[in-house]
Amino acid sequence: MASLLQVDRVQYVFDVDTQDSQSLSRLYFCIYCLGLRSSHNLLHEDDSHFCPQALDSLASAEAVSRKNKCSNSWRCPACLHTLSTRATSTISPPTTDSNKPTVKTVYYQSCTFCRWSTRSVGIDDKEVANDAWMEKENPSLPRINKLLEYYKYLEHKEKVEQARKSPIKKELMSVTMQLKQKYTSSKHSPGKKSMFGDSLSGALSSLRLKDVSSLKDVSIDASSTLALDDVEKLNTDVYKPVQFTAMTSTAQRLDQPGNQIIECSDLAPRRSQMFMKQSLRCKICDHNIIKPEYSPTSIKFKIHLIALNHIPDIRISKPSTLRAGERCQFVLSITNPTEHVIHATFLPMEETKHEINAKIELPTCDIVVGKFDDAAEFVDQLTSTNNTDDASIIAFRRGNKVGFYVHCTPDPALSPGDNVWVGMRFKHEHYGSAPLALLLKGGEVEKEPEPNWLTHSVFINLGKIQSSLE
Amino acid sequence: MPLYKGLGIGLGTDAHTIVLDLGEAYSKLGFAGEDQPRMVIPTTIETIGGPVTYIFKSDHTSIIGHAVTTDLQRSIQTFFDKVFYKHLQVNPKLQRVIICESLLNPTKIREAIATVLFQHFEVPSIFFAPHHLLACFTVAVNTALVLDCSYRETLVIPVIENTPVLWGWQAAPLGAASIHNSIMDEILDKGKLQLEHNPATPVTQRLSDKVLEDIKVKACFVSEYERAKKIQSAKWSKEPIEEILQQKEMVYPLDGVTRLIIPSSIRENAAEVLFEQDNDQVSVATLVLDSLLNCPIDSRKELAKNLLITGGTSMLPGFRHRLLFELKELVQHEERYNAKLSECEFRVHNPPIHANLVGWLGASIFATLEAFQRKSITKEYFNQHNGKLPDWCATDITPPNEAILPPFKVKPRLSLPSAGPKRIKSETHHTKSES
Repeated sequence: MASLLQVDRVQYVFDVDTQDSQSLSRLYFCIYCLGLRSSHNLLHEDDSHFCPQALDSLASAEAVSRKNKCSNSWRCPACLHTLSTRATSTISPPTTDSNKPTVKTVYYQSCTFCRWSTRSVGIDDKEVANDAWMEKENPSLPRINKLLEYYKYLEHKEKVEQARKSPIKKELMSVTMQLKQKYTSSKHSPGKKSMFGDSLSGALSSLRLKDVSSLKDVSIDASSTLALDDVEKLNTDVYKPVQFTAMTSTAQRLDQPGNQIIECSDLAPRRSQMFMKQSLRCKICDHNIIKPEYSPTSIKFKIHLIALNHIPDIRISKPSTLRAGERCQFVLSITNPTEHVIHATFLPMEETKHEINAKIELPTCDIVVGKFDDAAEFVDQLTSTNNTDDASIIAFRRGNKVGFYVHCTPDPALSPGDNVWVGMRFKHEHYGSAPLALLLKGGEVEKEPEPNWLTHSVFINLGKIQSSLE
Repeated sequence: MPLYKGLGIGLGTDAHTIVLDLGEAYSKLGFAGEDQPRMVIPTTIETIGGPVTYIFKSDHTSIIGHAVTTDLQRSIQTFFDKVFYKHLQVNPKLQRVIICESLLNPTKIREAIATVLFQHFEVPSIFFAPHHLLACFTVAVNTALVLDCSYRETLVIPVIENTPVLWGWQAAPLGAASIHNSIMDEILDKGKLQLEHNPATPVTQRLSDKVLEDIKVKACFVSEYERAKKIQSAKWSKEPIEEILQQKEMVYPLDGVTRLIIPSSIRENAAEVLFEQDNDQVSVATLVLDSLLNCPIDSRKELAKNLLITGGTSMLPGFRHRLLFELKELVQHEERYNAKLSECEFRVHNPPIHANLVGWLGASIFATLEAFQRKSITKEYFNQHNGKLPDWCATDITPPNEAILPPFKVKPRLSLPSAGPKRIKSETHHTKSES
């Protein structure tokens, strides 16, 4: 896929066991256990829910009771986008009190995307802006509730029976009592709590369930069955010409599973779903990696440990034409996001599962990359301070970004149109936030904090083999 | 844990069980105790710049289209990421899960799902429930002949006294996929594509499944028995039959500029593939009858009176009526059925929800019960058995909370109390299983 920055070209391996890799912009970095993490191997936690339309937020418990639906935002049933409430004024006929026609504002909903509106299906305009629109309820809701009740009752009854049937000390019961227990049906006339009312209850009290409430006898009829004559025949309306635009599609039908609407003229607006804000946590050290803010209007994070803020980013700076078997030169750039000067060393790739179909010649010495300076863009850099760079290795140097040359020889066996992948490892230092923590505690800051050396495996897609005619 | 949680849907309960009905084409997601699923989504995963893939789609070369181990698990993981974090918006670590699935689901798929859910999402417990049994919960009967007509195939399994009778199973690859193929064949034969005002050209390429499904859902229906007989005989004799539809050709808008012109006969011919008998003389109706023949004699009448039709493909207009009619005709006229089933009267149930959600609703009802919690497979159990699940075909694993190994999968053991003399019989059945 083409994107402006072509982030998918360079992949960093985040899982050593499975050699899974992703582009750096999609990875996170745990500064406590010093490893790259991807959203796959982090613990997702439910932080809060929010609606981007109405900008209201809910905590998780509340969201569960509201079924994750926003109270004020509605969704178009035709295109599944958000509906906006529009107001118009209508003139109603004069009332008996006054002779002048009264002007009222009424509200209707319309979709700015597909132009569907509540007026087109015949829903009346409402006089109040909010709280007036109703969602269609499932017509069989009472029956389903009854089924739920019934099965709960059945289970409870079974449990009580089982407790009753389990061997009770025989001394407590006479023979007649035992026979009575064995052969009497527990289902007496409705309403009579016979299980607990008879004389056995004393003996059974030790076995009786502790917090049982009164057992309402729930009976249910099995749902009715229809014979051939009762089942509705094929409606002869189907023989009429079909209008493809007047019937709903599968997606529209399944949008409201309880009431699956067949004709477009029956569509009704639905409450829109809220979105979830998640916080991510490292599984190994149990620290938070990402923690968003609660307010729905804010896109900032309380904790924001993304890899781009900590790990140097390698990108292809200048491509060149690739031909099978020919040596060509590329410029790769490395950007240092940290506030320390780092030294990057390149090492050849070890045995790996990824397919590498080109050989790469990497610079043998380390490359020093300057630190990230906020004010750098405002200060004019007249001349580069040190020209001691080896021109055969370093292509350019700008602030915290350095471009360096690599040579690549694709496999001679490749054909035009194949992607060329190279792999390498690179090593750099990482300075933790320990100095800052010490500073906050008021302790002595060491002169040079100890760096941690990190090694990453990187795979780069240099492009496609050009056909030899070009 | 309190032994009796109280009737009704508890909004105050801390953890709502997640109810999933994973199908090959669509998955229904929701929570226990609710009357409808929250979402019904296609069982696909989308990758940026890549195709939309159905994760459980089988092709003819392998059981499932991927390499079985890691690729399938990765796809399932991506799919569940979508399910939990985008659609249901819950933290799966706190919720139990019940999955409604087919009894004939390959064990590999089941184990892959369980592995992903336990290891990656760390759910506390899972329960795999058979679809056909759960369907009986929605109509409050003990005995029913459940027919599931869905995307890939139609599966009939009788349920007698709350037990799926597995040896009575009948299946055929007649479902939405075969209807799509039939529509495609007819379009390739007679359909035309028209680009703006250019002349119409014949269709050469297979249309996408989405388009075929759209045509099927909006236009197709199942014709009546008499009419169908004429259509079927016309297919062989190639004679034209009287037109009953008021339209000769339909115009289907493919996108903004291209139109697909298709003959209206597709509307009634497409679903015929379900009912015309092939070389083995198998159609959806014969599946029901063959299944009945495999059942014990004394249960046949009861089963025939309690037909339960589920599955999305059965929602085509006219399906139920045609099925009942076919059953009646087949029993009357065909020798193989007349001898044994002539006394059966066929009656069909009316579940309180649309036929494609019946399995989900049954799972939702079951998940509110305590039996579900007791019988679920927990993480410890799963690790103990090295990732193998109890199954009706596995003889070396004991399901949780079962002292003896039943011949069928773990299922709910609720027996309706029956008054009078029958009571003792059901009691003994009860005590034998709950020892």
